[in-house]
Amino acid sequence: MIEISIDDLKVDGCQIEATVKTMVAVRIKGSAEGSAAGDLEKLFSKVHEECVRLSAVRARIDLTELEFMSSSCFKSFVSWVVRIEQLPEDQRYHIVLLSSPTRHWQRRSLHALESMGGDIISVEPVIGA
Amino acid sequence: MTIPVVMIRFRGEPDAITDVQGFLGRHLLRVFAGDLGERARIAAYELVENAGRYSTAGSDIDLEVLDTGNGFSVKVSNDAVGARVAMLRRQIETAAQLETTEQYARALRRHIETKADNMMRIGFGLLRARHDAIVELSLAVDDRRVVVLAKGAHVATAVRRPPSTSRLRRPNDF
Repeated sequence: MIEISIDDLKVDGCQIEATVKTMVAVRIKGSAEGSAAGDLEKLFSKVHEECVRLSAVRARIDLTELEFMSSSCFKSFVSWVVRIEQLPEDQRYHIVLLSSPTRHWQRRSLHALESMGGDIISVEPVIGA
Repeated sequence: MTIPVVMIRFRGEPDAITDVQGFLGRHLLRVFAGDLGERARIAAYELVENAGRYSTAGSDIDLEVLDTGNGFSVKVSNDAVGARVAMLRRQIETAAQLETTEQYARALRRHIETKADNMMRIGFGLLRARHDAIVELSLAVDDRRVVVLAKGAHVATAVRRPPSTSRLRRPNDF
């Protein structure tokens, strides 16, 4: 845990506002086939709980080394987005999916998620991944 | 020229299905280059998964993947069970009508929000094959076997694209 204490610091001639915004980062590598669906659902459910508990503003999911994802695993992402939408507006957070431009399936799959999730989800291609 | 890439008959049991899907993942990426390999893999994976759900436990599933010269075709056949064939036909028709990413996104949401778990699992893979593998889907019943066919054209080199699949492609997708 990182504790910061800057309330009592003054900077002459300046007004200071400091905030700590929490981001939860997860990296998934390998191949998420049908047998992984249950575990992935649990993982995202846990990440969601932690994001809410920590008042996170962002969950960053690195998929650059994910070579394949089955439809049953993909469904876990959709469920996650719907779960965030069901939160009160001030508790919602953003999912950022880091994708690899060289994994062609990610462009189509993740673009569909982005279309579905509106403001909740965005995809960031990582050049060179 | 059409070249057979995979011709397998296997039991519709979880372990066999997993083994076949693992093999397809390795083999199709070697046979087809780049995006085509990934699309063939998705189509074959999801059609096999779907057949596994529809088959009578332990019955045979036939899988055939062809290199069609301008793309690939995946044909999966398994024993036909009356009510399931009707359901599968509806799912294929729904997936075949999918034309845009926005329609796909709406379908994903609808599936989750209605919590129609069984229907969702059955239809979800076909929707994904249609959208992510960019395939034309069709179904036939032949000699008490239900046959699902997915055909994917080579996107980058296709001179004339079928209207239905070309509308699936968006500048951001490719």
